[in-house]
Amino acid sequence: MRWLRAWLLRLGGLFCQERRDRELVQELECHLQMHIDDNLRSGMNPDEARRIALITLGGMEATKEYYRDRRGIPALDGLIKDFRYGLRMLHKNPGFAAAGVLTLALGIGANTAVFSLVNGVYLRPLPYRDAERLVMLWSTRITDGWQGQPSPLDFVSWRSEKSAFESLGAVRLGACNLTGDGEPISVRHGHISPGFFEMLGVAPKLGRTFAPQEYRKGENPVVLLSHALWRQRFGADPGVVGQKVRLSDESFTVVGVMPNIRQYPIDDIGVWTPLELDEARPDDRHFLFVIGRLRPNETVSEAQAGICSIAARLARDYPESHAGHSVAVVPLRQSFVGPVRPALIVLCGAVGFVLLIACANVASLLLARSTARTGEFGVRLALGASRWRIIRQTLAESCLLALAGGVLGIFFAGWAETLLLGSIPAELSLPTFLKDVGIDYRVLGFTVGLSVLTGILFGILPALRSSGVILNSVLKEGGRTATAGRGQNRLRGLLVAVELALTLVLLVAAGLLMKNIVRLQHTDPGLKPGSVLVMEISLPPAKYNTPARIVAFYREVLARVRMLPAVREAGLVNNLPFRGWTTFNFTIEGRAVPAPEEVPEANEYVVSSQYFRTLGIGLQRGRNFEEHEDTDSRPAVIVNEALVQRYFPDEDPIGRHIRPGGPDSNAPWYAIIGVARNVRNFGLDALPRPEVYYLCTQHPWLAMTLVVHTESEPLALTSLVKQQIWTVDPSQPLSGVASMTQVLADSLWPGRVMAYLQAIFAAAALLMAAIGLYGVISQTVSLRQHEFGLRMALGAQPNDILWLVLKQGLRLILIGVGLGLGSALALNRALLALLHDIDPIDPAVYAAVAGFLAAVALLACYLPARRATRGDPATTLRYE
Amino acid sequence: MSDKVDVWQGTLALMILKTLETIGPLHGYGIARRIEQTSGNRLSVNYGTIYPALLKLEQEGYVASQWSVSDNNRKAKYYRLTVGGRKKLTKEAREWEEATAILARFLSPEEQHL
Repeated sequence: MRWLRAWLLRLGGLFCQERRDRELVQELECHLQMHIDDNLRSGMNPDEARRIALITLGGMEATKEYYRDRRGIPALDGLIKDFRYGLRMLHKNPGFAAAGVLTLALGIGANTAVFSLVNGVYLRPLPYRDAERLVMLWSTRITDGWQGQPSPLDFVSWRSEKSAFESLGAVRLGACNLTGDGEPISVRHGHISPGFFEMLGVAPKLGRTFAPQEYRKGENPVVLLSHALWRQRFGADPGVVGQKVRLSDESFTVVGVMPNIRQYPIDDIGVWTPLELDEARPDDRHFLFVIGRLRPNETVSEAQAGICSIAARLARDYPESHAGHSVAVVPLRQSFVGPVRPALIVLCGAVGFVLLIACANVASLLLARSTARTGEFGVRLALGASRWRIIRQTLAESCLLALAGGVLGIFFAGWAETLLLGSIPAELSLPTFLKDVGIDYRVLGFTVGLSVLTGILFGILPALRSSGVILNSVLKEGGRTATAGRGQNRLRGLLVAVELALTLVLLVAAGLLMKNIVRLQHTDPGLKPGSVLVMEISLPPAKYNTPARIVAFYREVLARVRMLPAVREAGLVNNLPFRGWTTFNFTIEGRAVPAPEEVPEANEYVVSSQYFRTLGIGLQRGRNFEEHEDTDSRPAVIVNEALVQRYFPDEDPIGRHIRPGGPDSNAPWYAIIGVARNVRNFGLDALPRPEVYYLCTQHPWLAMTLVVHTESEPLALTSLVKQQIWTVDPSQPLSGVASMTQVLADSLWPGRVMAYLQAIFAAAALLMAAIGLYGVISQTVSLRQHEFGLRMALGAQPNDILWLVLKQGLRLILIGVGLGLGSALALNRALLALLHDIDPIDPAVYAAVAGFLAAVALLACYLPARRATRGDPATTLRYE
Repeated sequence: MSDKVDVWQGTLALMILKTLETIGPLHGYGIARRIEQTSGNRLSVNYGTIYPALLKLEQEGYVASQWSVSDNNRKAKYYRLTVGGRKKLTKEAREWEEATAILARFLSPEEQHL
């Protein structure tokens, strides 16, 4: 422990050095005096006395040196001195320092921003107990690799086998209407299985979670409130436990309030109620989310193997329900950030390139400046400075520059993030991990580390060059040799060529992404989104408890809305395209019973008769639903082209019958009366899937979206439409108001953002590369001014001089573009994996991008080249 | 001066501690002088090396320093042994004696025990 004490004291010795120095001098002086006194007493004369005393001491300065080395930490001391010197140097050259800091701020800032994204997504711990032991379970189908949400049947079967997991929990998401004090609002509603929050390790802030008997139907309904809803709607009243609230016209008792932690994957669940599962005959539809906790010391693959063998056994024992199905076990974090990974990788690569280009530029600047300082380094080397010392000092200077750039970069990053997150459309439920993005200590640490690395990276080249200075020639000529300048110029040129190559790669990526977005925007979505207003209505089941009531409500609403003067047509659909979908199995009449894994499947939609007309979805064959068709008419459905292609490839589907459910379902048979064109419901870049449209009067549905085709601006009609609905039922909350064009645009938002970001990075890179090129060519011009003056005096035309300069620039551009094209082609495999649907070898994009880059680069060369031609030969020749 | 032997590394600290134990609190010059005397003038001490050694001992907590006035009315920095220093001295002294005893067995002629 003594050594620790000593080291700490030595660290402290770095401070108050002046005072300690004075004390030491005093002590040594006193020592000398005492020795001199003794010498005098023994008979020496004063001069001899002093001389002997000094010799015996061993030299004042040497003693002081050894003492100082012991007092502080010499290495650290030296480093601090280097930093102070570097600071002084930068202070003397504010222009250079500003340029360097700004460039580095852009490079480091971009990396900080992307890292904070990575931090929010991957590194921040989830707010649950032992969150890394939580997994999500997905139901899979062996034949076609389909993976989706488990059904209650799956959940009950998995839960009954205790061996695979420590605990399992399920949640079903829905929505309900909260009425009572204040405006009725639509609230996201989670139905949870017993022990759900206990499994996550989240305890309620107030009250308790659900008791076992509350999971049975019929008991006094209970509800848990979320922290946000409690604060927003109940004023954070601590006495809220025990109060009653009305959800969708039913009365619930509040038993607890959950704490304010992030929920994954969506953060806006307002209330929780117990999940009702019929354990004897569980539902087979897939609408649950299942989370499990691994046993202690169990790995994910062990759990996966365990649950798969259970699934295999279930498939054997209960073939009708379980054959062909298996389970996928995915760590919780991966489940909801998985899709973001490719985009993050592309972004990381892009900002990495930008930083490299920034480094190259600053290195180039440093190299240029080192010419001015060769005299200084030469003298220092002559005086005995070690090469390492000079390198260390120049590196300290670079790191200082880089750290300053890093600090500024953090501000840039924070500002850019706020901008980006603010631009997310409100209707897009923000994935929770994006809410966690921000600058925390990990991000700061990363920035500091990256700054130091950056400083070393761009500083090493100039440092090596400065310390390797050839003494003689430098001291003689004062550093004006054209040869030294030429070598450095070539080096800078090489750096610029590399910058151009990196810029080209970035531009190619940006070009491909933008082309993709443009292509998507021009893809025919299958409907006409212009001038369509959408609005979501969610009827409470307690109030509308018979089909007749539901039908009556919607009929009246449609009639009223159609009567509005500016409305051309109105319709209803239960799942608005691009906003959601449900899947179901069906049976085709007259076909052999399919194997369990090949049961026909489609997305189901419940629509009103005018829905297709409102959204402009064409009918390819057959007829539309008629206005008057209802439960008294024959049950009918309309299918889409994709369904026909999949299940009726060689026959006319009109007139055939299908019914929902498996082979033993007792639902009525529906006649196919028409075929609608495909609508790209799942995103403009996804393939259309088979779909079945039911008529809402035959198949009433509580939650529908109203679509209204208006004469002019759709959102202008919002309040009028709302009023019409409220005349029918004043307590009905309405949500999700938007124009259809907006809904479409929102679905493209992630892709658009990626394209824009990539374009911004590419533009920044281009700017920096152009500036770098400009710098190098300028330097060439100044170096060769003498030569140009001579040439012009000997009869060269200005254009000849121009061509001479441009030739150098062109050479650099060609090297850069060549390297860049090569790298882009080499990287295209990575691009292919990340940007599906895009042809990474798109000659048009490559050619356009290369041409654009060459044009900008030529401009950057042209400006200094013009300067060369302006020089008056007389003056340049005289300047010696 | 040429007969004198240079101080072995690491033993200077031990000598300083022993000197302080024998004499009591003393200033740097006095310690250096005393060490030279104790060695019978057979050691040449570069007086300057005393000071870094004293600093090390002070940093490790074996001695403590204080400015005071000397006999000739000079302001000098006096060093004294701490409790920890005394313990260290005892321990080091014992280790040295053991080391020299073992080495002596090797270096002095002895009867071979069969």
